[in-house]
Amino acid sequence: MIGVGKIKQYSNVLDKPLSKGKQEVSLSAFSFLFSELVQYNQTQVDNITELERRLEDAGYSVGARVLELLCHREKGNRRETRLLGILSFVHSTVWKVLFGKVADSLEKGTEHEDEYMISEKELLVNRFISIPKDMGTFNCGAFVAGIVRGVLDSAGFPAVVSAHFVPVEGQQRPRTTILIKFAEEVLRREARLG
Amino acid sequence: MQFFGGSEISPSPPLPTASGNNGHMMYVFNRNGICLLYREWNRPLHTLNAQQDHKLMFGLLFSLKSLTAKMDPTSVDKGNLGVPQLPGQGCSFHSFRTNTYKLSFMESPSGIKIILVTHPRTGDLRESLKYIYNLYVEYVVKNPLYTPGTPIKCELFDSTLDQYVRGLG
Repeated sequence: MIGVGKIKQYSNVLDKPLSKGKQEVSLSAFSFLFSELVQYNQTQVDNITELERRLEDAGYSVGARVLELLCHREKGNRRETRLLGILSFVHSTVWKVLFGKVADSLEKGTEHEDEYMISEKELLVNRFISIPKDMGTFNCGAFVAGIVRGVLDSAGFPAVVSAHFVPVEGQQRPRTTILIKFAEEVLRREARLG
Repeated sequence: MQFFGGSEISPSPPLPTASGNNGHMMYVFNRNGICLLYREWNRPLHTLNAQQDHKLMFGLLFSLKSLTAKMDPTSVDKGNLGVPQLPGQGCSFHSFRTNTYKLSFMESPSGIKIILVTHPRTGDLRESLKYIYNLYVEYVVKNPLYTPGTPIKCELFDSTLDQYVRGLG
């Protein structure tokens, strides 16, 4: 019976199996941490666009790592090569792991070929945040836009991603839309693949 | 001795006409006496300007708190008045009532004071005040775009508060 219940000690951290990790984190803890992230960046910049850019960059780092982790855990190291494939991966898998639910909707833009939109009634990061009037169109969802950009970029689909509020009639809080605009080369490659 | 007669002698105010319009006014102060929020739903009489009104209210509550703590017949030691206390701990007053209104008060350990003025027949509002404090924590404290110590301008807080107070009583 010796060794039963004892955790195996690994000499090298690379030999440890990749754990599933904690599935849930306290929402309050995350809100305070995110709030501090925004406040810290606020002290370093002068204007709104710069603040949004910083939040996006913070999200980019998260996105790049999330892609690696999820490809290993969820998809068995398969690589997405098609546009719709990577979009549905972001819309379902990434959202499920990060926010606990799939995104509300995924739409193709009507005006331009290269635009896609992921919509959410209320982004988790924005749940406790009310934007004062003098900040105009600032959206803390820029962090989530950065995450999406990180995932797409690391997967080989360079894009410009931004977060926008879309007012919905009948509801006080506007919906949030993540607008994804793919680069030229992605569309050309997609057309070649047929 | 008609002088100390029943409560029917003093004129009672008209009962609230619409159900759910019970709250008259609300103040939120922080530890330093800055009025973070003042909302009024039903206040026909304005005697002082806003600044004086807030100062008067804060001063009144501060004095009432120390008075009630000093006059406590049950506690053995004096108790330290500056120390943060959980609501219900130590000796703290929670409401006073006149024939026309009832004022309910709650102070959090961080010094946030919530005052709600309602119709006199309202029951004990301590749980409601705790819920309002909870709303404050969620929508104001967790908002990175709010600087602590300044008047509250968060629309999420305003709208949920409005909805909740209108549903009281």
